[in-house]
Amino acid sequence: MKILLACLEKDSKAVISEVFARAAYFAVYDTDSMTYTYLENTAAEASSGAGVKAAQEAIDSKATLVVARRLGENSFDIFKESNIKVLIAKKDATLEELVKLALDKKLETMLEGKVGFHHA
Amino acid sequence: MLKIAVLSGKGGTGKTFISTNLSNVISKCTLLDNDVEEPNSRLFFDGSVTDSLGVFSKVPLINRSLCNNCRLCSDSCRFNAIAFIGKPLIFENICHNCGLCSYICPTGAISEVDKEVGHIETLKVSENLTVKTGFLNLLEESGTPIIEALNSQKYEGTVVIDCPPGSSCLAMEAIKDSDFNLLVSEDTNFSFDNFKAVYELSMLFNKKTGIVINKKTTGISSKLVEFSREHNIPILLEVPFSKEIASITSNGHLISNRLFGYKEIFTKLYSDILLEVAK
Repeated sequence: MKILLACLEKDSKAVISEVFARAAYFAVYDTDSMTYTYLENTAAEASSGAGVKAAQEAIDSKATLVVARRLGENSFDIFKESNIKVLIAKKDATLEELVKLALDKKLETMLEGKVGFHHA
Repeated sequence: MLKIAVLSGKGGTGKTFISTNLSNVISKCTLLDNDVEEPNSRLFFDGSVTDSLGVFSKVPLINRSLCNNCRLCSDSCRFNAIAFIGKPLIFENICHNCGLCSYICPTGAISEVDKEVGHIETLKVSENLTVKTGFLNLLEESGTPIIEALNSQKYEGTVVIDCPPGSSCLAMEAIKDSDFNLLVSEDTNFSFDNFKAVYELSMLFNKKTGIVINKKTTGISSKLVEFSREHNIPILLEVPFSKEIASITSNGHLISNRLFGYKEIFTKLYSDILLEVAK
């Protein structure tokens, strides 16, 4: 299984990003190899539809689980449509801590996206 | 058909105040309320609504039986309005109605269908004045199609455009075909900063431009007046900061009807604009 988390540094000891679609990187943790790979988030610079593009990158990375502080409506809807489960990350937790919590089933499932993070 | 656009860098400077009073004194005039997110020019006039027409924009619709899930539409959309989750998924609120996806779809699976985004209401005030108001539907993100629909029609007489605030896409659409831009600003540092943004926009579009200073107070040094001298922009009207004017306006009346001398003042503003346009 692959778990995807948004982050600002390519470091599993770094704290999770507060935002999802406009975070600098996505960390993908592979539970088989127990390694992290990092993807540049090209959606961070998008002038429009960053939430859609970021969710697209997550889907294309073959992740089946996403851990995030919060998601915009569009990202959330795409994960829902694709049956990708989203768990709510604890504030200021590191990627490693969150992966462990996710695997131990200690994180709550996100039930809705938030409106209003995009500009008009 | 002369088009005068009334705009400002920030909200609340008095675009509607100037637009409505100016329209009120022009002998044959159509006032177009382009502030489609919160139109309110019509509130200053009595009359009867003669029609209300929907405004539509095109959104893509996918015929799933023709779609081969090639992903080209999703990969090509520069607005990121189409996700691909094994099949394309369209986000209408992000779509900019450019039509690229239906144009490039190799199997012809994407057609463009009309979606109502707002409407235009016509208020007949008198033989001399008609007010056309653009309304953007709730939850819609872009009022551009409504402004485009309002401004692309032919009208009798002079057209006054009450523009949306700011200098973004909406304001650009509103001034696209204007012959004269009237920039309304307060005489404060905040308003001046925003004024410079719309002035720059007006210059970018190569428009003849003039200034109205609204809610003018005396005794403070004015960056706006200095700037206008430096850049040779005519100040066509100064409206004082006055409780009486505020009271008349906030009760939904026009000072060109209610306050002595203002019919003549706005008539002079109009003739001064005509002179500037003729220069």
